[in-house]
Amino acid sequence: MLALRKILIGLVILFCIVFIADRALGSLLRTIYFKQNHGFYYKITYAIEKMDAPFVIYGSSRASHHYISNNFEKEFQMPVYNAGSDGNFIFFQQALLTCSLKRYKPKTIILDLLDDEFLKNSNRSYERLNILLPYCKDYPEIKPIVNLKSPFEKYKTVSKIYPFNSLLAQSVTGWLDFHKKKVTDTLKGFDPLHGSWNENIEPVKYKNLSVDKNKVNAFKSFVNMCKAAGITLYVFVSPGYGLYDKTNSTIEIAEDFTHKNGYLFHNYLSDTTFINHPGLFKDIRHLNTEGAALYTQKIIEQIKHG
Amino acid sequence: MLFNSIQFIIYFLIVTTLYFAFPHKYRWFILLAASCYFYMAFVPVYILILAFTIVIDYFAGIWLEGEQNKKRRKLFLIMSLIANIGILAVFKYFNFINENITVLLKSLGVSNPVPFLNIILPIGLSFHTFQAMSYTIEVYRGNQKAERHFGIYALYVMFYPQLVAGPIERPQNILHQFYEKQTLSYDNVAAGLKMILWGFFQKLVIADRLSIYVDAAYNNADKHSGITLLLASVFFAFQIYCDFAGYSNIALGTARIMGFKLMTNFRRPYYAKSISEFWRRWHISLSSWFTDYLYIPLGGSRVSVPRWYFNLFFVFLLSGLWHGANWTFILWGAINGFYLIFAIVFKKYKDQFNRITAIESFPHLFSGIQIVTTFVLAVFAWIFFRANSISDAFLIIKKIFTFKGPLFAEDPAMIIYSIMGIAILLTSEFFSEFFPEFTLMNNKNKVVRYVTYAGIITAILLIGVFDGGQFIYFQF
Repeated sequence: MLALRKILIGLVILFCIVFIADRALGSLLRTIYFKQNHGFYYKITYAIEKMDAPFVIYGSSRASHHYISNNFEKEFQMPVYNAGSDGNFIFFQQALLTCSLKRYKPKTIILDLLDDEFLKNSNRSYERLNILLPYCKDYPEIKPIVNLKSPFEKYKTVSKIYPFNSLLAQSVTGWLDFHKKKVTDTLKGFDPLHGSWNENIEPVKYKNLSVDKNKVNAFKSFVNMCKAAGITLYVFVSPGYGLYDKTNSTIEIAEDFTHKNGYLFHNYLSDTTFINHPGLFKDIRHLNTEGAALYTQKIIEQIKHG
Repeated sequence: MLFNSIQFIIYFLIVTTLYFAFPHKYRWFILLAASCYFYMAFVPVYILILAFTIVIDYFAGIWLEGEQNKKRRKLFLIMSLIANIGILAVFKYFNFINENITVLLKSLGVSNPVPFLNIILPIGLSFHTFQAMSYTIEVYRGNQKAERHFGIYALYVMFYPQLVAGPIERPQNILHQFYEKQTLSYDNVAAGLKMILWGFFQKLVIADRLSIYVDAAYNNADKHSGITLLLASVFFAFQIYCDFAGYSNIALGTARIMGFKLMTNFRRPYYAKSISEFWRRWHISLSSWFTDYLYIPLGGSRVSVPRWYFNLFFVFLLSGLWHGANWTFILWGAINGFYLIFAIVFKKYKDQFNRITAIESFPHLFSGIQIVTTFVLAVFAWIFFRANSISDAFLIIKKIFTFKGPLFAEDPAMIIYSIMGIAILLTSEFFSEFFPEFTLMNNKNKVVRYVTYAGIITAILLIGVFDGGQFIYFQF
């Protein structure tokens, strides 16, 4: 009993020190994180907390590199913001829209969907949900989305440091304007890619992967939120440099649901304007600036002509 | 169930509580049941393989002890070894051998009629096979009494902290501990928690962080520059160390909390001054297994010089093969064997060189050079261990030596965290190695100790990787 008492006292002392350190460091990290002025994480904070453009583009890296906000602005005579975010997928888009709808309702949204968005291809979509952890405190509505990551996520967030795990260096550089040179604020979220792809075109197979219901539900939720808010939604799959499988469950499901809700869906994945032109790509999944300009023009025409 | 999961922490708390709550005579059963559950959390049906070898080795031990006839004793031992090695051969090496036969026959224009087996390697098979073999060998040698209690013997093979990735225990060290009444002791709990904490730091902050960069570079070696691959190779040296030593520390710590003392598996290997010393500090339980049960029975160094070289080379070749059914592991073993032979062959020239340059009169500098040289040699060998194929390994080496192209630093923060982790590890081990009296975790001052624990926990929360994969050595 004496040993147990000694062990428990030791653990309580340790718990108290860790608790204090966690609270203090957690608050400091939170302050630094939200003080960022530039960089990848600032763009997310901006999209959640400050964005007020009536025309918004959502999606992953393909969105951020493919849709030139300024070209849309010129054509539609309204502010446009590209909220596309590298390595973030449908759960992230769902969370982003959930947060921003708390503040305002955009008139038009483009959602750029990946060709394999709904497939059980890797855990990455789930793992990347930790990027939303810093926002859970102010936007508890997104907690159920973040909790998809693991059944233990809600317990981990008891720690105030954990939401900022691995973000210290990025927060400090974003705060101290180290990214300033790279900043493309004038491009309103569009992130241009330079250079071209000089490799041969390769087949892209989906390996008979099954559909992840959580991802489909996230997409449906996104469409339903737009419908409920009276937002005009366009769902596009942008071009890729590959010989894609003709049967694609993601595209079938997304097209069907988008149409059912009276919205426009178009698949540009194997569009002939791009597919035979490696010079328009930076890599197999991303268009370069030249490709993005061409693609943006196509989208503008598509929207204009319904 | 991975050590670096919340499920394991819950499991560990429940098992430890039950262990101390039950009277001593039932504890073996608690531990055995918990170990079965732990193993079945991976692929449940594979417990039958363990059960099969446990039954064979249990009876082999009893028969070995009761048998006076030397030939029959040998027969029982061989029977046990064949059962263990046979299972290992089928599950681990069959497809590898078959694949190589297929390639060989194909080159002769003949097709291989033997089909490949559609099986998954049972987790940790090499570890418990070797531990089981050490029991029958020790009983055969008369160093260990045969275990009559079937449950205790099963626990010896299945004890969950070291079931899937060692340390590969010896019966003399662990079996008697299952009979001893372990009491909840502050010292054991404190020592165990410290090991677990450091293990988690090694795994989450260092190994899993480094694996991100290493995987990115090694899985696309043809697309990366020499400097990237060099950095990835150095990172891998620390990744593999922290992954495995981290596991070992968690294993030792969980056992220690319940009062069991498992053997130390690592002693700051990157502070070794020669490759032979490296192997006395790296995966000690496996190195000593090979020494005791293979190298010495082959004659060790007390044979003719060519035979001695053969013994060294053969043992390391097998050590490579033990790690995995792939030519990359075999070559990794061969390189280490070559290092040792090379060191012996050139020892007199090295001593001569040292005398001429009088380098030994600068002991710190000399030690530093030896440590760095050993590390560089280890890193070179690790390239083969980590590469996805032999051709990849040679491509990586070629690229490293041509040194062209930019450093891959898509996320510089990743490299910063990696270097921070390595710096903490090396600093901590530097003091343990050269100034053991200077310690933070075992400092006499309570405040220093507690602040250190809290600092490590905070560092894990701050820069640990929580979505990391399983331990590398689980696949062996």
